[in-house]
Amino acid sequence: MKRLFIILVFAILCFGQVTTADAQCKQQLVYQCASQTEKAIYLRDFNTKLKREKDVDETGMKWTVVLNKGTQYKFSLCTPDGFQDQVVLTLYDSEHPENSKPWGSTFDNSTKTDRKSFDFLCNKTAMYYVSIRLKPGVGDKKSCAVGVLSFVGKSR
Amino acid sequence: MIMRKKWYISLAFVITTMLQFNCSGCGSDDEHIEFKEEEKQETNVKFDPDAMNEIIASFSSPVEMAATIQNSGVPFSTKYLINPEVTDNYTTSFKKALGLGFLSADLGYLNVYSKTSQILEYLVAIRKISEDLKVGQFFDFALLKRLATTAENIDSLLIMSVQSYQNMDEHLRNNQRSNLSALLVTGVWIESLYLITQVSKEVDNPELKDRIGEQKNILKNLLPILKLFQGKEYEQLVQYLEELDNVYDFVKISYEEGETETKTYIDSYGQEQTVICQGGQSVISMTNEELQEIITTTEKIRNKLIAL
Repeated sequence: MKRLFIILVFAILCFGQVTTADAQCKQQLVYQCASQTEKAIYLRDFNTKLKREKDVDETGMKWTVVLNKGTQYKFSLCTPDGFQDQVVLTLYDSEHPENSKPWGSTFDNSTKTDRKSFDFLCNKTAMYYVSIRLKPGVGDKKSCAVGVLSFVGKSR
Repeated sequence: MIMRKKWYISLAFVITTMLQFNCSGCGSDDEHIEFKEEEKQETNVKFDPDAMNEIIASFSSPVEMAATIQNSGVPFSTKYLINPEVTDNYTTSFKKALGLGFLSADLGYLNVYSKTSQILEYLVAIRKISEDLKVGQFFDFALLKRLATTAENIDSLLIMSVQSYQNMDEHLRNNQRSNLSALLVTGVWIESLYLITQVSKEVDNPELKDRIGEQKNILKNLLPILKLFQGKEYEQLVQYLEELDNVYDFVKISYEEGETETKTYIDSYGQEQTVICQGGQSVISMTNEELQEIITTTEKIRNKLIAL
């Protein structure tokens, strides 16, 4: 009976962990990320769970977003502690594909460094894509990430 | 032996209960709520629902147009906003969803200008409509009210308000109520266009004029989606927007190629920041007479829709 009780407690604990890890980022991280954008006005967020089962798996998500000409936007990326250098936020469209020449990314391919955010001065009103994905070769643990889009201002 | 059997039964019961709770958490909170037929619509032609939802989701945030107006230096005015009490008379889901969009855009305008004292009556109206549309669980009225009454929490109020809107919209799209989501974004779009056109009547600002002209492309994306839904109210809405679309025919949008540049600067925290300046630009050609016609038609349509 004692053994059954232990199994029951273990099952509850394991189950709780699975459901938490499988979810998107918690509201607290979204709010923290949205509040970090100094002097910029929060517009929307992109929240996704991240997990790579196999090396070839495409992780994360993509979203469509209309960006407007003459507006400077800020794209920020936030992750739970320990995952900062494993996740990339990319801004792209059909003519500037995600994997070859995107408009912008939180990973600078030339210097191989990560940045928490980048600004995009939009000169063409159109539909763009924002993706948040794990870098190739990482992601054996379940995680999540939040991207925040904010309005910095109009270009003068 | 009997004791052990009882334990197994108890264990199975607990796990089954947990699975049930977990499944309701993964999906929607109101999956078992029955919706009226008018609330849950099948589209009248075959259209990839993912593609449709992608287009609806791409529409700008309910605060972006207000941020553009504020950034151009135009002072705040309540004369542009709808009276939230008007929405008390909305009886159908169609009117409520559209009204929720109108109110969300006005709430965004109030938020951007930090007009917390006027926000409360909009929060009350939004709460009522969101509950009627069974998305009230995403609108934390008590928290928003508390933030609205504490002036220093204006940033939190804006973030929470936009997130509430985002969550309501997403929930509608994920629960086969894309028709209401489409109405919600249409309401935001019309009210935002109304705000910026009214402001441009009084202020001659080329940036605002460009933003109004660019809405031609947004309308071109919105119209085919609204045409997918059946019913007299949708037909009426499409008819109004087609009238506006005809006016927008005069607006010409062309593109010039250019080189993209990446610049860096040091912010006030001493951190290096990157700015990507997109090469090329879109050029909007529109005469003042054409602009005037857009302003007049937008005002007429918006006022008709509010009075529906």
